[in-house]
Amino acid sequence: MKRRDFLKLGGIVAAASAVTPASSLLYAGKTTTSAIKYGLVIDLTKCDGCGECATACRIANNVATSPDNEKINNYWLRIARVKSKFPNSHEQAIPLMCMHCDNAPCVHVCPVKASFVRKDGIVMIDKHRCIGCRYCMIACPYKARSFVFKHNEGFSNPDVPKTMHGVVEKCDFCVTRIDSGRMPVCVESCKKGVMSFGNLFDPESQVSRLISSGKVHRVREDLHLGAKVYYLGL
Amino acid sequence: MNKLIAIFVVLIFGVVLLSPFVVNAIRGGMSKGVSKLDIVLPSSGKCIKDKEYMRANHMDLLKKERVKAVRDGVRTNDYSLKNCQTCHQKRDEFCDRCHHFVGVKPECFECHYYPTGKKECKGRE
Repeated sequence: MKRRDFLKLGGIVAAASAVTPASSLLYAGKTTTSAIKYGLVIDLTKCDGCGECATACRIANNVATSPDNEKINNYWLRIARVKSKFPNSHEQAIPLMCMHCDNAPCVHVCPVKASFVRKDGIVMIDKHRCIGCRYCMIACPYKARSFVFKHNEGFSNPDVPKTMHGVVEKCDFCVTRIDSGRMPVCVESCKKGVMSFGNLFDPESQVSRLISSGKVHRVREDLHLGAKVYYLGL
Repeated sequence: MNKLIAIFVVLIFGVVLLSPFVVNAIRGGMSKGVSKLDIVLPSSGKCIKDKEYMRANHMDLLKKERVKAVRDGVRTNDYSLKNCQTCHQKRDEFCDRCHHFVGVKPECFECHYYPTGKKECKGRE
């Protein structure tokens, strides 16, 4: 082969590989994209703290539960009840879960890269990889994560995996549901329509419309973590 | 004297080392060979890859696909533990028997649901 031909061939191969990366051809349309960013808006003016979302979440995600021991009674979503010190002030229930920060401290801190932010903005734990060091639990300012202290027996929902003993678990916006085009359970289970879930990049979605109304707040906005769970009437 | 003791120790060591083979030879265990695996195979259907490939590489395949599913959200129907269940319905009749035979303890079923023939606790509230 002449030097000229060799260079030509090399050029063709390089051009072909630049145009069509093999992985993108195989999984086109199935992978997560950075064109979507999922977010949640919780309308606290409608929420009365019935706890329907919390129980639905526990059942749907096989969350390790032990009602008699507070320490090992895990949660993905919990309901905080806030009351001011003034007399006759009303109690406000706030559903709290993982805020899915863009700049997540749990991800920075993980020594084995088990925690990560998916391209579409969901903060997830690769539970196959987690070693249970609990650095992320300390790093998280929202107390969103809990550690599985005891063997989690049985499945309340066999469609999704449960979490093994010695691993950290937290809300993942019900990824398996999202990937199959459904809403997270908390959104679906709420009868009062408190929560709305959708794509933050899409200006037509309900979430972006609620956010653009300008009345939304995030918990601990001063930390500048880019949380993607917004609250109306906080 | 020291030499004698050394030879004696080496002899004893040799006897201990070879004792399982000797015992098996006397009992006739070696001629029997390895007993055939009692695996319940599905009567019909075709696996996603051929038998030989799956026997040798199913764990690597599952591992590769699980990373894609968790990290990139690529949830294909073919390469999932759930899809295995459509043909190999009971874990204790298929997966567990071979795993037990070769002495491996995969942790898949600690978290992932796979039906067994045995009675199990399900429907926790």
